[in-house]
Order: sequence, then C-alpha cells, then structure tokens
Amino acid sequence: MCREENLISIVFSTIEEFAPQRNGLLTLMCSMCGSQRGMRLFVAVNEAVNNALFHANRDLPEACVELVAVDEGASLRISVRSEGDGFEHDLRADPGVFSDFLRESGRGVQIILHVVDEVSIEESGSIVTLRMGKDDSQRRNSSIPS
Amino acid sequence: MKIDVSRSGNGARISISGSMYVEDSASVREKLIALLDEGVYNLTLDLSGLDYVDSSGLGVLISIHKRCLQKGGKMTITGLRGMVEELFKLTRLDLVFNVAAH
Repeated sequence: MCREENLISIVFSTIEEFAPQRNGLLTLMCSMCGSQRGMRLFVAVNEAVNNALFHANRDLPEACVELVAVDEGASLRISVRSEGDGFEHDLRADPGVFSDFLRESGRGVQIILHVVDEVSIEESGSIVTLRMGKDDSQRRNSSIPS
Repeated sequence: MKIDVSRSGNGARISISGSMYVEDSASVREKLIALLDEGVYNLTLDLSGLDYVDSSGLGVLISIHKRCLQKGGKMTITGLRGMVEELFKLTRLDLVFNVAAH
C-alpha cells in the first residue's frame, strides 16, 4: 500500500488566472503518466476546468475553482471542485453528442470520459475527479511504502 | 496560439498553430467570420502546427463549417496530427469536415 502525496493545489476564479498554470500541469502529468497518457489527462483536466468556470460557476463570477493533484502511487488523481451548482452532464459513453455532428457544444464531458482511465462526477458536477495510471517506470519510482 | 491568413480570390488558407484554448476561440471565430462576411467561402484550415484544441475550439470550427455550407462554400481541414487528430477521430469530426492529407 502506498501513501498519497499532494503534488499541487491551485485556486483560481477566472481563465486568465488558470492559463499560466497549464504548462506546469502538462509537464507534471507527462512526467508521471508518460507523454501520451499525460497529454490525455491534460485534455480532460482542461475540459473539467472549462466546465467549472463557464458552466458550474457561470452565475457566480467571484466563485473559485480548486484543482488538486494527488500522487496515488500507481496513478495520478486530479480533482476539480467548483462552488456553483454543477452543470448538466450525461455519463453514458455516448449520449449522441458525437453523432449529432453539427452540434457546437456539449462535447467536453464526453471527451473526458474517453481520454482518462477513471472519471467520477459528484454533487451534480461540482466535483470532477479524474484518475490516470502512471507509466511503469514512474510507478516503480514512486512506490513509497506506508 | 497563432493564426495566419493567406487569401486568394474567394478562398483562404488559415494556419492555426500552438494551442487553441477557450480564451482563443473567440478571436478565431471573429477572424473566420470576417472572411465569410467578405465573400471568402472556401477555407482551408492548416492545423499542422496545432498541438491542442479544446471542445470550445471544436465548436468554433463546426460553426464556421456550417456557415461555409450555408454560403455555398467549403471548409477543408489539413495537417491533422497528434492529439488534435485523436480528438477529431474521437468526436467523429473527421467524418464531418473535409479532411485532406497534408
């Protein structure tokens, strides 16, 4: 069994505050999960942050979003927590957004579902938790005995 | 993100490079709509330099694609690669757009 280690915690309320954090987050994710899986996790995190800022917190411009990254030993867990009432979502693998070709929005959650290993959405969308397994080399390096 | 536009008659080649995030989508939308308003309906989007596009950016591309069709024009995507290509395939947008080999 491995200890969990908090890697990063970021609080922001606008996309302008979040934007400068992106490169650091991508580097962290790629260093732990490998370049391809790290990029996929980054894609999911970016979509989750967009949902938090522009949907969950839409009517609360002063509300914050908190992003926390935790090293679970074998995987990296990212949670995105907003203060608003969540956002509409459908966790079915494909509720039609990919076949409604000309629809201009609504693909964010579906992209998240397809690119990471595990997704959970709690409190109507106020908490989105993403999990991605590390690549083998990183898994061995971070096996911290409890 | 960087966007370069090269016009020729009623067509234009638009090269988008870097990462297209939600805060970039509005400017891409404005530039492409301005072209359509000037009668440029045949657009080729060169995405060979694009590393990432989020779902808001995909929405903008769909919106412009629809406007092109309404005007009797055509939007072609070229240079898909890496994560951007994966996202196009995942969301099946590779079936929506005219995707040309780079």
